[in-house]
Order: sequence, then structure tokens, then C-alpha cells
Amino acid sequence: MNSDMKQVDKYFKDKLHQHESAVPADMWDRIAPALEEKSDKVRPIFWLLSSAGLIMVAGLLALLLSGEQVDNEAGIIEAEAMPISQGLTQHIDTDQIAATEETATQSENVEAVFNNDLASIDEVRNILSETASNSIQKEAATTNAKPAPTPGTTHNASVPSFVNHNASPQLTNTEQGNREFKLVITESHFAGKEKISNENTKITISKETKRYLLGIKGLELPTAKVENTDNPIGGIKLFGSKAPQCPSFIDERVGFFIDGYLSHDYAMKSYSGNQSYSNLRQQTESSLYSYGAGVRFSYFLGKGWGVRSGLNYSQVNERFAYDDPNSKTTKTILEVEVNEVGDTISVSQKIVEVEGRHTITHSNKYHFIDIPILLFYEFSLGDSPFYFSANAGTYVNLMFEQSGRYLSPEGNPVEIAGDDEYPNQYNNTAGVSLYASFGVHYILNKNIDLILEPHVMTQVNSITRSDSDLEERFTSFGLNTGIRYKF
Amino acid sequence: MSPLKPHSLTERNLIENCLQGDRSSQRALFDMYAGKMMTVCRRYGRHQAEAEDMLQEGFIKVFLNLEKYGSSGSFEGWIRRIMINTALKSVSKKSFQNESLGIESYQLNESKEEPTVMSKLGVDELMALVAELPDGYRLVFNLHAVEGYSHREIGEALSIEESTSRSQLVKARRLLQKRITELNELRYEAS
Repeated sequence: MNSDMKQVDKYFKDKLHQHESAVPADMWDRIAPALEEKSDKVRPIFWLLSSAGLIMVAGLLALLLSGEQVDNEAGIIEAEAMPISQGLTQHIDTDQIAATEETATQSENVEAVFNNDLASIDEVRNILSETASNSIQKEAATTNAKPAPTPGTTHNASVPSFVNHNASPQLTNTEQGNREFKLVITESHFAGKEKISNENTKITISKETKRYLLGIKGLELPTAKVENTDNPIGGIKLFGSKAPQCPSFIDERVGFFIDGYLSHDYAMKSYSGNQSYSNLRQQTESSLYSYGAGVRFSYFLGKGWGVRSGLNYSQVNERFAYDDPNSKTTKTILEVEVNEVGDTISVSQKIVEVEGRHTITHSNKYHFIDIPILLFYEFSLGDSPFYFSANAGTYVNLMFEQSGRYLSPEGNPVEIAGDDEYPNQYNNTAGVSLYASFGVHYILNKNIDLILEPHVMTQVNSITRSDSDLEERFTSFGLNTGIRYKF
Repeated sequence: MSPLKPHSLTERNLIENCLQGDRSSQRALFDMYAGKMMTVCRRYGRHQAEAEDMLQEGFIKVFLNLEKYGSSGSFEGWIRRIMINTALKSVSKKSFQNESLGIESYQLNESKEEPTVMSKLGVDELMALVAELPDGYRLVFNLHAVEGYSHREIGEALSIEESTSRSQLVKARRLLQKRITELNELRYEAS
């Protein structure tokens, strides 16, 4: 009977194994479009990579070749009227202020400078320095001098009064021997016997630095405007009872910065789909230390906000460990027979098979190349050299490659890259991932900051094909360590 | 193990050209093996439409994974394995398991009939007999009797026990034998 059954098998095999059946005439027309689609898919990735590379090279060139031109004529002196402070009032005593001949001369010089918006910063600095250095010796001589009344005004003889022109500055020093001087422009109005108001004018001197792309005027890049209202000019402190607050450099930063970093990650894989197969895979796969590296360009939009992009490479490492229950171990047993004195009489060899468990291990690797597209906000707290950033956005995957082993649904270890029995289950790209991080930055010097940035990233879509047995996604936690270069 | 057959120059050239994306070479390679692979798909498919879908999907996989052909074995054997895997995937395992459970209700006659002379049956009739088999019988019979896989390999491929594969093969053979007998009786009566 058994041989009869085998005859049935043989008959069917002989007849059917090499038989050629008729193929529908349009079968090739059904197959060809799928092959065209595959070759088309390659091109966008190539162009994406090329475009990303070109953009980065162009950006680097623009930054390196952009000319920085300081326009010395752009110095701006602005005047802003502000109420006199209580503390300062004490330093301005109308008995002590007098329009002497010498002071008037100095006042005229400063007035001339003050009214000229296009005066150079150095000119103002020089005049103020000269005026300040002379005022110490002059003060004692002018203490008791009374101001010359201005025609058209009335005054009470018991109360010293004066009227200054709007832009007539008075110069006084605060403390003898102190190197700080205050430039005070006073304007006092008297009506009858009472002083109505005292106003002092703060001088703000700012210098504008213009930057041009490739040194071409007309292609102006965002510039940094530095306001120097506190201790800016040759030791002379401008008006203010309290030191004006330092402008936040975060708010004022514009332009490009480049970050380079290494990433130290731990990636966890989640599975969904066939539950028993999912359990099988989880038992045999475990996460290992993963890492990455990247370059990011940051562009500040203003007020601490900006956008970042660049290129990121990451490698997720995984350990595959599988106990093969069907494995057999071959052991060679040597039997040596010896006599009483230890001489070898005979040696025989026996080979036996022992059923046992053989652990198959492998290092799985998943390689990603992504383009990060992030929105960020940077802020500082006070005057410390530390500042912070909050980043969020997406990573768009350009390339995704895998190597290693995993178990097929049938429980056999197979190559991830695919073979005759079980094709590759992964997509060519990993799609889009969501990214969020919080960075701590330390200002090392005017060009370089250090970066420490913990982050989390998770894949939106499954990295396996739509017809695969499981959906798989990575979620990684990591720490970026790097440096920032500020051009 | 059969000795490796050297590739014909024509086939090797075709494969190289296909790897470079030459569409006419791909068409030529398809024409060389489509007929045999259509027979494979007809044996595994439940009907003609399903067999055509298997053939289409199988050849797409062949060309998309052509770089993985290592030139160390028969190219026809490599294509055949891809076709079989494609066919097995398209046959729902759930329905296969349901079929395998339902097999017991078939109540096959434990016939002691003498082996039937099958030489009068043509290929199309044999194909029709195989297609009549329930899914589980058909898969096991094709994989073991026609392709030559062992029961262990069949068990791994179909996620069934080795013993299940053996019993289903026996049942498939008996069912085929029964149907062949009926066909021959009909022919005898007609003549």
C-alpha cells in the first residue's frame, strides 16, 4: 500500500512538476508597472539627498563668504526724556549748578554732538571724556555761582532758578575721585516760585553693524543691534540712578548658528499585530546601546524663536538570542584503555549526537539617515553663562537599512535582509518621526557654546511593509552632547 | 544533492541585464519561466483568478529581489521557491486550519481498492483533481508529492505539526485515488 501511494505521488510529480500552463496574454502588462514604480521610488530619495546636500553646502558658503561691514556712519545717538530719579535729585542741586563760561563751552560741544545724528561714536566718546575730566576741577569753582537768568523769565531771588534750553546739557560729577561721571541734561521749568518739573535726558548711543551676503551691499543679512546705555564709553556712565538692565542677548540674537553633536540613545521597539508572533519576537530581541551623530543649522526668527534643520545619522543596536530546541550537539568520545602501569593499550573513538539546546545570537543593526525640521525657543535666566532651549518637530527619514536576524512567524531564525523563504519585511524608508528635546547650553566664548540636550523621538508609522506579519515602531530616549559655533 | 548545473550563457546574460533594469531582458526571463510557474500557481490556487494573482505577485518579487539570487543554485529552483512562498501566503492560514479541522468530517472510506491505473488521465484532469482537494490536503500534497519537501519542512512552512502533515498527505492521496477511480468508471461506462 505504501508503495502504491508513492506511485501516486510519482505520477503526479512526473506529470505536473515541469508542465507549462498557458499564461494570460496580459500578465506581463500587470507585472511591468510594479517594476517601474520601484525604480521611480529610488529617484526621489536620490534627489532628496542631493537637494539636502546642496542646501547645506550653499548655506555654509553663504555664511563663510558673507562680508561683515561695519558702517561707521551709522552711529545713532538718541535722546529720550525721562523723569529725574529721587536719588539723582540729591546730586543735582540748583545751588551747585551754574552756567559758567567754561561749562557753557562744554555744553555747547555736547549739544552740537547731540544734535548731530550722524556723529561718529568716537567723536562723542572723545568729547564726553574731555568734558568729564575737566568737570572735577571746575565744580568747586562753580558751586556758588548762580545761573544767568534767561530773558523772558521771572524768578524769585530767594530761589535759584534757571531755565535751560531744551538741549543744554549740564555736566556734574557724583563723587570726587570717582571715575564714574554722569552726563546730565537738565531742563527745569519754573513758574512763579515753584519748580514744576525737572527732566533729565538719557543719551542712548547705539552702533549698528551691517552684514552683507557675499559682501554685496543690498543683500543685507539680519544685523545685531547693540545698545550701549550702561558703561559703554570710556568709563563714563550715562544717566540713570539705577544701572540700566543688560539687554537680553537671547532676544537680540539673529543670524545663523551651526550645531554638531553626538547622540547617546536607548531605543525600544513596540510590536502590534499577531499576538503570539509578537510575544515570540519580544522574547528573542532586546535593546542595546545605540548612538547617532548630526549637524544642525539654526536660524533665529527673533525674540528667542527660530527654526532648525540639518542631517542626522543614527544606528539602533539590538541583540537577537534564540534557543534552538531542535539542535543537536555532536560529541566525540575517546575511550582509552590502559594497563596497570599506565601504558595505553587501545584508543577508540565514538561519535554521539546529544539533543540539546543551542543558543543562536546575533547583533541586529538598524541604520537611519534623517532630516530634522524643528521649531525652537531659547531663553536665558539672568546673567549666567547658561541658557536653555526647547525644541520640537519632525525627523523625515531618507534612508533606512537593516541587518541581523529575527524569528519568522514559523519560529525559524531568518536573515532580516530576507532570503528565498522569507523576504525582507521592512520598508525602504522609516517615514516621519516626532521629536522633542530640552537643551542646556553653556557659553564657552563668543563663538562656541556647549550643548547638553536630552530628547525623545518616536516613529509615527510602522517600519514594516503593509503585508508583513507585524507592525514595528521604535521609540528612543537619548542625550545629545555637542558644540555650537556662532558665526 | 544534485550537482549544480552551469548557467546557460543566455540565462546569465539575461539576469545581469535584468539587474541593470533592462525591461526587454526582464520580459524575456518572464517568458522563459512563466509557463512552468503558472502550473505551480494553478496547483496551489483555489481557482484560476487566484492562480493568476499568485503568478503576478510572485514574478514581481522575483524581479524586485533579483540581486539576492546568489547564482549558487538553479535559477528555476529559486523562482519556484518564491512562487510557492507567495502561494502559501495568499492561502489564508486560518481557512487552512478550519479546513484541516473539517477534514475529519469527510469520513473517508478506508478503501482497500487496488491502485488505479492513472495513465489515461491527462494533465488538465490531474490538475482538476488536485484543485478539488480541500485547501489543507492540496497544500500538503503539492509540497510533498510534487515539490519534494519533507514533512518537517512542511510543518514549519504551514505552522502545523509534522504528524498533521503526514496524516493530511495520506488523506489527500486516498481522496485522489477515489476520484481517479470514479473518473475511470465513468469513462468505462461511456465507452
